[in-house]
Amino acid sequence: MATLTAGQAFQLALGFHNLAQEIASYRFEDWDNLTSTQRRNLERLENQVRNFSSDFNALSIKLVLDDLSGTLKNIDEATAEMTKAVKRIKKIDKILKIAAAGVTLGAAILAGNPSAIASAIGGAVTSAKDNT
Amino acid sequence: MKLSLVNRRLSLILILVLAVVNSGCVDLSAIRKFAEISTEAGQQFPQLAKDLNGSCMRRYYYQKIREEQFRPERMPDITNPDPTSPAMSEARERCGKFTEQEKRLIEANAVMVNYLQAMAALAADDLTSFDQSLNGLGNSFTAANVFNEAEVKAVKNLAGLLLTAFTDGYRRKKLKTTIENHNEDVKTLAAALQRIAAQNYILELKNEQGQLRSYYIDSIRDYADYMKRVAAKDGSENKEDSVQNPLPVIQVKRQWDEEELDLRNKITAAESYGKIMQNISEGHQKLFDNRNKLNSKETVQIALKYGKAIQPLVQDFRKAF
Repeated sequence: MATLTAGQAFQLALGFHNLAQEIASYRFEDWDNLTSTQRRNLERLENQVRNFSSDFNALSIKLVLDDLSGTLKNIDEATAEMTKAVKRIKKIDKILKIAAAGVTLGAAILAGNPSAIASAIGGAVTSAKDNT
Repeated sequence: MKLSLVNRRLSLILILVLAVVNSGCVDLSAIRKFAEISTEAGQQFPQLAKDLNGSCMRRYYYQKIREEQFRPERMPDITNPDPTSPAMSEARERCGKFTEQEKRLIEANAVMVNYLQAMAALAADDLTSFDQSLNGLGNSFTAANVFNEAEVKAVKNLAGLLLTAFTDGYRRKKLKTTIENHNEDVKTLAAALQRIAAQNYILELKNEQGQLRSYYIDSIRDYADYMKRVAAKDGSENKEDSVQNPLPVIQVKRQWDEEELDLRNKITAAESYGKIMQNISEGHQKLFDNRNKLNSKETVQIALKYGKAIQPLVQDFRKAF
């Protein structure tokens, strides 16, 4: 048996919705000519038909989403590539900061200044930690 | 001599780099604006996705309350059932089909939002601003007595130009490749989300609207019939009027109008979301068409136009949810 497409399921949902509207209209226009029992039965029928509309509508959504799985995977991969590119660019900033800390340390060592060396080492370690 | 040689070499490199950079200057701000606004629209979507089940449940309440003929002892079970009760099982069975799709729907929308956010991040101007770090590097050179102040400034400017040329070129290439390879995917996803919001969700709201109207019309007619019988019994019936006591109906009508307004706002929000998806699809297509000149004035104008078109539609969404 052939299965429904998302579009076909939606058309069925729409058809049942329109039918429910017709039943309601008939019920209200002919209110005084119907017995209480007839009105209740028509009300129940209208509810059932609306429920069918809703069920086919839910099926239509399911089928749309089923068809999307390949597309979603492709877009996720594109997002991952762009995010990687952003990280690569941000890495340059990090490298510059580490380089600045490294130059400061090198200069302190060349100058032979113990307190400057200690402070520069601290700065270099912090910079490396902050930027990993 | 050493300093003079360094200066000459720096000047030559600077001239060459300026020539390169000026030919590759990038203005991706419009892409960023378009992507950011589209992302904001997409972030409102989960409430719409949840309301598919919400609408189904409201329709279920209207049906059940009338089926149970407004018996007050049945009301708590219908509108606030115990999680483990048969009433809750019945409610879940009625609307479970929407609950099953809710998570998938939110995830599909999140894929679009994440893609647009990543695009905005890659197109962001401040992504390639290395000024602070270069200042830090420059200060380190000065303090270390490697170069004098003028040379440090030249090195800093040169490094900044080189980095900007490299990273801007890299950004443009990455965006171009992404837009080129995934244009059809983005359009497919946008079309699917548009369809679900503007067709499926709106149909569910229209079913709810029909149910709401039947609920109120049936109830008001039942009340009118009852009042006629009462009036007939005590001899006060006015056979020319169908409504013997209109005052309670006025109050009920007020409630009815509020619920109709709520539904209309949601229908408008769903239509707006559909248009947002359409704009995203068309905007992305235009970026694809202009992928070889992403920083041209024309492309910037196109991206800005689509970003601006999306903004007011987001307001419709906020009104409803």
